[in-house]
Amino acid sequence: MTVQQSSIDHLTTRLMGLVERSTHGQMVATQEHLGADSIRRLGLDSLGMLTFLVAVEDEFGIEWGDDVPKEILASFEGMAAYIAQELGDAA
Amino acid sequence: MSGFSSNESLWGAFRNAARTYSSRAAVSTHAETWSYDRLFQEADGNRKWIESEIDDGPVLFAPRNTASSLAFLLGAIGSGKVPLFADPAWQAPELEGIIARCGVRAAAWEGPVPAGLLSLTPAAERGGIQLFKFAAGEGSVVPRKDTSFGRFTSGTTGFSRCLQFRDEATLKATATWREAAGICSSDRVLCLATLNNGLAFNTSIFTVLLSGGMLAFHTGMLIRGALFRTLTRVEPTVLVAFPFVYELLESGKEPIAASALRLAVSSAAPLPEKTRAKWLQDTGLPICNYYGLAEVGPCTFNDGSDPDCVGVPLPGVSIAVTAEDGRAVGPGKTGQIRVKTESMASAYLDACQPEFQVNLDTEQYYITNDLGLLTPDNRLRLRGRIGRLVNIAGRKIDPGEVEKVIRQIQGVEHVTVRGEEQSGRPYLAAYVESKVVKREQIVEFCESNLAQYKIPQRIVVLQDMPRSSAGKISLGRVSVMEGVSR
Repeated sequence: MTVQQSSIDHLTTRLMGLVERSTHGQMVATQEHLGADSIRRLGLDSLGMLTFLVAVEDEFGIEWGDDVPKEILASFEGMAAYIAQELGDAA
Repeated sequence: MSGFSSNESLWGAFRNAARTYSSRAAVSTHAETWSYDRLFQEADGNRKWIESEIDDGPVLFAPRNTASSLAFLLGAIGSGKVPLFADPAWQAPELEGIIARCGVRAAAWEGPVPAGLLSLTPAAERGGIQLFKFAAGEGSVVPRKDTSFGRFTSGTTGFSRCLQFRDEATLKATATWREAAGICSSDRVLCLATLNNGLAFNTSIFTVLLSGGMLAFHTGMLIRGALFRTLTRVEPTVLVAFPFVYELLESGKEPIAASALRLAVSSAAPLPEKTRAKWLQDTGLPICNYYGLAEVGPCTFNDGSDPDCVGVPLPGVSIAVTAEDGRAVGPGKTGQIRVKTESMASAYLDACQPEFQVNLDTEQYYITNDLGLLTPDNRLRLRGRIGRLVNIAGRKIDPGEVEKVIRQIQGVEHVTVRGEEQSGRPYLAAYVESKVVKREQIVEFCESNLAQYKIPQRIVVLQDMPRSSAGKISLGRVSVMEGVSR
């Protein structure tokens, strides 16, 4: 199934908002942050990253598998594409 | 229960336990379960391999929570080459510092070696563990003859200090924890701390393996769905985890899948009251905790009946609460905690100052940086810390170490790192004085030089730090300045 780019863009924006909320406003991602490694470059610590991943599960009703590639978790765009695929598969 | 005494070696005690519990499950991961026979065979193979490959220790090893790493950990102790158990999250510069300071002669890794670590090429490989060798440096540090292994403490001098432990100290710690927690051969202990961590050492590794129980590990990310899968697979009787894991498990709507659980242990950081209450409501079990330090091992045990304390001293442990001059204060009065245990480290393993003995008073009590009080019935209540160490989710971080790294960035004129708190959660904040450096550069440099958990979550770059009329950084004024990590 091909996921529409507009859907991925929308999910990307939601993820950027989510990282701000899950870090209580300490990490603010803007459009200029997008690109490869956009999440990694924010500099979340280990606990911050786990908190964000749990927030993503709660927000989108998905569950991270044990074998999610690191690249998926490293950028907003990669994560958005993964979520879109998961939501599409669930529909 | 397998018997072991303080006059046998740790390796000997494990060998005896392996004979006694031969076919029982010793270690379980999502991929495999090894019996005591299998674990001993693998560990003994590693012991012989290390003996044949390495002339002298110490051997740096960053264990992962796998059966292979556990077998290497045990075999390395059995070899007598003094393994030093490092944090697998550490980056190459942190590890290089340890290799130089501790006179490390070999290093072992399971999985990828941290990028850039001395451009290493492995000298040998066995069962997924790669072994690297180093030439002896001038004036190399030599471990004490009675040292079994080394573990690291966060230190307060800008770098981790390595602590040397004797077999006897570990066997004492094992015996006291086993008695306090009632660990026996029917237990399945799910340990969610990494194998190098004090929580795993104090409560799980040897306590379980010398008792005939099964040690279980979680694989993958510490997030709710994955944790629930592990709980279902293992059906633990004992759960050992940091407070944030309990918070995580209790943050969802799903019921906790832990019908066989008889003991839940949390430590290293305060547990939120609402998590404690919800866990009790959901499982019918209180969350137990304890007080322990890397330098001295486990000191107390709290069965969960009094949430505001860390329990009563374990057998063989003496605790004193003192004023600054070292004189004991009475029950109910807050002072500095001093502890004397039979599981204490014997020395630091490096050529740095101060010596370990500086931390001991004339009666050989270890002088901690913790504040607390003893109740009339001898329960210990913690009341804060002296000094700058920041405790984030059970990991203690020296802000001085982070400052030292950020100061290396060209264009940074001054940096102050400290712990701050938001919504009851501590985090690291860095205030950087620079006219040219951007936040992104600081994050990137920290990522390459520090473990992920040491990266400041609030980074404020200021062209000029506020200063007092005497020219000193005014921390009070820094704290109220606005700044967001953009």
